[in-house]
Amino acid sequence: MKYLVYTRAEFLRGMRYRANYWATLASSLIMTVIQWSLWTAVYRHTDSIAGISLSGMLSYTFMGRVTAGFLAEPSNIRLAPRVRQGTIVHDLVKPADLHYQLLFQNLGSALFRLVSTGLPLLVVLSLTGTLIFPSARTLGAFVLSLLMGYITVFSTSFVSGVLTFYTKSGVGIDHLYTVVELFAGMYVPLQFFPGWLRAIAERLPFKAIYYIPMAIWSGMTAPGEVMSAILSQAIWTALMVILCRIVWSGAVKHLTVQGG
Amino acid sequence: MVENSHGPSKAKPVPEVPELKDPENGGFLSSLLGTIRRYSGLYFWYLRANWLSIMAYPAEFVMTNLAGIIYSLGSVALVWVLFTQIKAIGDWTYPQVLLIYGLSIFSRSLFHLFWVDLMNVSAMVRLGDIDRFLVRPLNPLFQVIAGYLDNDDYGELITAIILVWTSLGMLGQRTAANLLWVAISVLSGMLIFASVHIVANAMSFLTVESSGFTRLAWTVDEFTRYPADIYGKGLRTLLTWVIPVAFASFYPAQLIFRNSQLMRIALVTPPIAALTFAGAYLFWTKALDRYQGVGN
Amino acid sequence: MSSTNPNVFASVPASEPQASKTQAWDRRKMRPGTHERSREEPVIVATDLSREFKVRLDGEGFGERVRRFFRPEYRTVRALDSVSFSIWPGEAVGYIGLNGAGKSTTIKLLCGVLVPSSGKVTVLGLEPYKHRTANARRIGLMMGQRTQLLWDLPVKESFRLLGKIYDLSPETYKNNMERLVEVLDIGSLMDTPARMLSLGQKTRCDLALTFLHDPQIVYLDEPTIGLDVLARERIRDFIRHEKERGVTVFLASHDLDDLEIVTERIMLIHQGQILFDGPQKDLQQIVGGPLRTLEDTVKQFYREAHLG
Repeated sequence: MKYLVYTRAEFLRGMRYRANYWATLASSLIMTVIQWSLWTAVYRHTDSIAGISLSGMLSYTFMGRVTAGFLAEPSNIRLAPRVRQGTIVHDLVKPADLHYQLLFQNLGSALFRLVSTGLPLLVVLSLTGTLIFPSARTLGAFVLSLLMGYITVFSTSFVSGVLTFYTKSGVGIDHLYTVVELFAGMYVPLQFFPGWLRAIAERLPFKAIYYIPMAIWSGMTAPGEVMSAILSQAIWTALMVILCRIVWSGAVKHLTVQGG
Repeated sequence: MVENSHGPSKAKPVPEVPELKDPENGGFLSSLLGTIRRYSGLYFWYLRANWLSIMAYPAEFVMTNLAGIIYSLGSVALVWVLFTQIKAIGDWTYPQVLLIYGLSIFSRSLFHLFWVDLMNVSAMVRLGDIDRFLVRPLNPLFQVIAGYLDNDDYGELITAIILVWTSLGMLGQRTAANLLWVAISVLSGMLIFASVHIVANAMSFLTVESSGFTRLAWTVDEFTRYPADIYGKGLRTLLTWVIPVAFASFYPAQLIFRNSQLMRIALVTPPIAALTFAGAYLFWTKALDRYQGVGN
Repeated sequence: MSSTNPNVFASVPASEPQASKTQAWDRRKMRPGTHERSREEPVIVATDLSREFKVRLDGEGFGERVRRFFRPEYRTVRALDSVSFSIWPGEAVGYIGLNGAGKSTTIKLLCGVLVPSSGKVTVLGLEPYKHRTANARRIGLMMGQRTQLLWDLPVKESFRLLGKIYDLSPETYKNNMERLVEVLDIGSLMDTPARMLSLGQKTRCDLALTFLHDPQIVYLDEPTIGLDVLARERIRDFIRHEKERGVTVFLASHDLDDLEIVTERIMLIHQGQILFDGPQKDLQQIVGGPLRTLEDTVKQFYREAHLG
């Protein structure tokens, strides 16, 4: 598919800016150590919280750190400069869709971060023996789930980016991103939420970014439930993509009417 | 064409230059006091200029900072949600963890507000803007810091105040003495964070590829959000005596907890902050010397 | 490295003997024009001034890059090579050189931003980098591509802040402001935010900021860059006006018309060495008679020296 060329280009671009690679690795390691210490301390007086053991919790968190770069909030969705400089006209005229182009472009940088930072971290963590690896079948489900997680997080940023730009509000979802992270399960798995908060989280798309893949990996999702988890994630992901298309076609209409 | 330029000039003299108050004149103490007075006065003027800049965009200011409150509260939600399931983290109860978290982001937001332009030092060096600071009769570090007041971190500051106030109330420790101690602690914490960033950004005087250090400096403060005794002994020692960020939140809180074991360490927070800052400033000065080519 | 012997073209005076320390202190207290001696002593003395930079070598090809990552190799660049000159009070000196010839390095050394690798420079009796703040009070620096103005604020705020930085007394501030505002015609701009000014307006304001604290020496680095013909004339008039007041002007510029009109003495630097230092008419003699403009003269100079 032709958009993969954007992915490849962006991936290679990441290879060129290697200046603070060591610092990125170090930061990632620091965050992992902090999380490890925190959860170990939390579980000091108890074996299970909300049905989750320490080892499950650690796997959940560690895999989260490994894939943090992959599922990170995409920062390459900037419409304002394109409109200001007029290059948006090129984007609209090209036989390529800017939405998809950005989707695949950011995928390139996400993959790069996964490989450059995530992979070394994965190796280190597996050497410590605290990281549980799932079965091969679950692993396959995890990879699929991870990919959908990326599409969801990209869509979230994309919708927010387009809307922010057109409402000229200056405040987008990245100003409220901790809320997204909370409901995505990045801080604690959703099982920890009190009932009413859990109900809200279940009705938001953010769990499809992070919670579902990590729950699959760490075994929080029982093997029998993996299929239904993937299904529900697929539905959320598809909904977000549709939302993107709606918002985007509205934007395109607006731009072409305005004259760019 | 003018006459021979090697001889004495026939031009009119420059009008009298007013008495130059060089800090090098006079004795040590009087020049020290004079310097402090001068810099405090100047800081006020810089602050005024920065505040006027921020107020040039009032709507953006309000919006961003309102969002900032939600943003900070979102990250605190981790602690709150966690404590709906558990009673303690290690030996620390909910209000205690909340206080430590609050002190951490309080120090952090103070640092962010007043010192954050440090992260632009590498850009200033790259573009040569730092030279402008060297041509003025004013300490360059002062110019970097005074020259910028952050406009979007008030949300975190407000959240921090809410957290500290609430947790003190929950602990039954909302006394005047404790509030005073909080003020001292967060200023100390601010100095400690500033020291970390000063050292990290001074690296741009020494090497071109310095952005990694800045990045790392931002990660270091994450350690302070939770009680420092969750970390292993080695790491805890590092965070106490080498990069003493544990004094930004954990140790000061011990005084409020009346923790008999750690209270004494809590009291050294201000001196540690001062020492750390002095060390960081020394490093900055040496790095700047290198940039200018002293000892090359 | 130039193949021609620089001495053929240079007319550099013998460097001045170093002032003793007491003389340096006396000079600091002297104000120009109040003492006969100041008229004979140069304000800037550079003696065998050199400045080197270590440039890190990049590798070609993967293997070399890896090797150089672990063991960096450097190449030494001599930005200034044993440069000597003296500048007297009230002179207007033009500094010419191709890009990379060493112009900004010279200015940085004179301002105290950089430290000499070898040799010595004194400005008003002080070594600039050793007495950075004292030197800073006596000099002004303007870089044409950069502004000192505070971006979002009305112009007058930039002046107020700078007045405070230089510790100007209220009367000095008032007098200087009145004079500069009138000569540069920036009164109407005072309440405008800097970001809304045109380049010409910004330059006039920047010049005013540079002269606000009554510097004895002013370094101007490409002050007229990007300006239209009329704006450029206003700037030149102003610089000449300040020169009349006795300020020493050091003007580095690619715009040779600037230099032709404002300065009497020209220094030409090439690859770190001063190839010419003297009055404009001497340069004309070297290229064999006066040409139409200074620019023509300089171009001819480069051609004859087989440079560039």
